[in-house]
Amino acid sequence: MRKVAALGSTLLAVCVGGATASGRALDPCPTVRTLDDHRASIEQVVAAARERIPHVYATVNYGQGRHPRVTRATSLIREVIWLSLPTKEGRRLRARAAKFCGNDVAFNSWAVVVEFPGAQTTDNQFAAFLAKTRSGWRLYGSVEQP
Amino acid sequence: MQRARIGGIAAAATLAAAGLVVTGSNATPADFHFDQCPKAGTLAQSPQTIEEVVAAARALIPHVFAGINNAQGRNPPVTKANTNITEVLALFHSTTQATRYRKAAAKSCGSRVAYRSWAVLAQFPDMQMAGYSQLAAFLVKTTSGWRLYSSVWDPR
Repeated sequence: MRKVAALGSTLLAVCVGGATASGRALDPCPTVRTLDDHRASIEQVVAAARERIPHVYATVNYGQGRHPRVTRATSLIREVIWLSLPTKEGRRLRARAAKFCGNDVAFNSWAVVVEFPGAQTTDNQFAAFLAKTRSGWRLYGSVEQP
Repeated sequence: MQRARIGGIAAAATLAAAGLVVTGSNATPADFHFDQCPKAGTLAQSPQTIEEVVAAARALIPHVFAGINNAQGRNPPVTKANTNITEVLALFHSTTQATRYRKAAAKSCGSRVAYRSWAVLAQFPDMQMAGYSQLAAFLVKTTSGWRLYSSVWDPR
């Protein structure tokens, strides 16, 4: 029982430290104060996602002794959604994003749904949450997408 | 003709109930200039990147929705600065949102074209009717280029 509790607190520490249980090296949470007030264009969001995805999902294609890199050709962006939108999908994803860095950050974020066709597991599609801060973009959260 | 018109009204009523109002085919406002429906055989076979879709939307929206900001004798042009793209999604996805838009797109050009299409949500903050300032435009790539063939109002 004590071992289970210790394992639980270790896992919690890993999550708080900016990485998910599946080994994603997420960026640290931005604070509300550091968010960029200027609304980003969709082109900026896509460019930021292209830049951050190979870092955060660096190991997604690893398997059977092979270590293929994540490139633009192997990460297919299927959806981009502004999370301030009061759409059903926007609300659903905003709730997921809020679990990482709180409601205020989630409300100012974008979700990018990306598929990795070269991934070795069946869970190869994720919604990545990005927010623009004054010092650049952060990819602070990621959830599997069915 | 009358039967087709009634069918169109019934379809529009169904979509309106779902929160969507078709602006393609018979219900096209005079100000909009949609491209013709592509034939299924002319659809591009290669996968498209999100960058391509956004660039196509930026190129076509100012032409198709040229008159959307017209009001009270003023005709402000549709530009990148007054068109906020808030969402882009591939319609072959099985998400609720994609399914909803795919059904709406299929009303205009059929299910095969709809399945290969993308929806681009655009807001027009300079439009006079605030309640109708957001729409989803449907684009598809053909062997001869992109077509923006329909749209739905998406008042929220």
